[in-house]
Amino acid sequence: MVSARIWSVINISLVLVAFVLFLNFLETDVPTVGAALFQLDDNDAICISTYGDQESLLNIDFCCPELQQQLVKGEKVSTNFLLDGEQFAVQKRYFTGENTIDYFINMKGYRYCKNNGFLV
Amino acid sequence: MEKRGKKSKFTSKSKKVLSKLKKKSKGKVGLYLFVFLLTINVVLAGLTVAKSRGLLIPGQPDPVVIDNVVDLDDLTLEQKIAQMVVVLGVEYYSNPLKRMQLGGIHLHAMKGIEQFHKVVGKFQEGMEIPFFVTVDLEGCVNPFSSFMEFQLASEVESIGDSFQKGKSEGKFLSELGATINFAPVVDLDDQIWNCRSFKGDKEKVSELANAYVLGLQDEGIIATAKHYPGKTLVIKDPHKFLAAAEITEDDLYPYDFLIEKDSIKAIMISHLITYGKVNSEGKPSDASQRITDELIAKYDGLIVTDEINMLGMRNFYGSLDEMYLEVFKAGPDIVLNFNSDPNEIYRMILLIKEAVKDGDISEKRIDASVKKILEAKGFIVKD
Repeated sequence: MVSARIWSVINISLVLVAFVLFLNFLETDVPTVGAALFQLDDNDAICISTYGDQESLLNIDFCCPELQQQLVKGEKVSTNFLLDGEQFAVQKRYFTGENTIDYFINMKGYRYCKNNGFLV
Repeated sequence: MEKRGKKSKFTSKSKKVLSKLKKKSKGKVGLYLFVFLLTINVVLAGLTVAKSRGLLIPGQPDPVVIDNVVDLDDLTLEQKIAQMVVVLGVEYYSNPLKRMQLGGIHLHAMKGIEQFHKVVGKFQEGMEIPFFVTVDLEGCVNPFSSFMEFQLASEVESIGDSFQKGKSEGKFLSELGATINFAPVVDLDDQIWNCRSFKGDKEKVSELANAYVLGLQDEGIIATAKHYPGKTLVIKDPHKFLAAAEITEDDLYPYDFLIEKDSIKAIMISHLITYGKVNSEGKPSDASQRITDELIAKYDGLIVTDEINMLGMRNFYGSLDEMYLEVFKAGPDIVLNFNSDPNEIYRMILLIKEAVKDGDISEKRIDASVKKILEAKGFIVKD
């Protein structure tokens, strides 16, 4: 026989789960680990596109929708780009084929796109 | 004494029974509460999963198509607005996107040609009004590049080459089931990638673009000149949400050339804030009614927005609702929204429906766009 105390613990847990499910159903924004990490990361969100020997710093806002259309998403890399005399470290690569534009982003950029609902 | 002893024995016994009963009833209440909460959790979990898969989006009535004729009066307002929307063709969401009867799907990169055929087939199956199937095939932007390569626009030198490029890309896209290519880029310069636009002065760019358009459309694919009114691939300020640029006569030359030749079937307007020859009045160009009106005055083909889900565009406005309203009010025929959540797409449709009902957006304007869209899909439209 389950004791009344155990029932209380189980039921309180169920109430909490129901509350989370309800918030999720209403699409209420709840703080996530990703959002917290994004806030804690004080780097700039970086997106760099490359084609042949052309390298360009892109606006991350433009970059996110391009990333979600690539075939290979988020391949881990550890590369530095030197653009306009400034070093940029990137950690993820997005591409489709050999002869098309590649995109590189850092973790801040990745979290920025992810937190904004892009399938990256 | 004996009596008292018996009485106290009886009392302690009854107390024990009572507490047992209490415990039992507490246990029972706990059990009933558990069943109740479990049921609520199961229902909520079911609803959440159903919503995340877009299963709560209601279906539209089947459109009446008789002898290839569509009567606009037979379409609901929701159906008409949905026809103006092109979304990312995510196979997982094919059912809700089909139920909404959207105007089109945009193909993202996939592994092989079989997968493209499968996805296009899945979306088009059973659709009385088929989806536009759109792609961005420009050369160095190529969703098929894992198995198929095409010449870059920047490598094309002669009109003949350009026509052949259009023909071969058109043939490939046609076999794939695509209907619109968001190309050619007729920006006069590409300083970001150096590969997306044709090389040369404004006359050469315009002639090469026209030849490409003719080749592509000869294979039944609608070509889209972009990004009106120009300078999109020149401005590269990574720190600005939306950049601004001065538009000159030269920037407009390719568009005027293609319009005069009566070749181009669609024009895409960019998010750039413009001044000079074309003035977006401080707004993104594709949300500027002034720009759309000026374009409609000289061009009767399809007017398409750039992808409005770009964060620069989203961040420019206070809310998504404000952005949706501004874009639709501007009066384009086709709105690209690559938000991957079908619920958000449906919410946008309902928002625009309310704006039409409130008189903020003219239904006549919606009808004019839907007529153009359905005619481009090969239907005869009664209005």
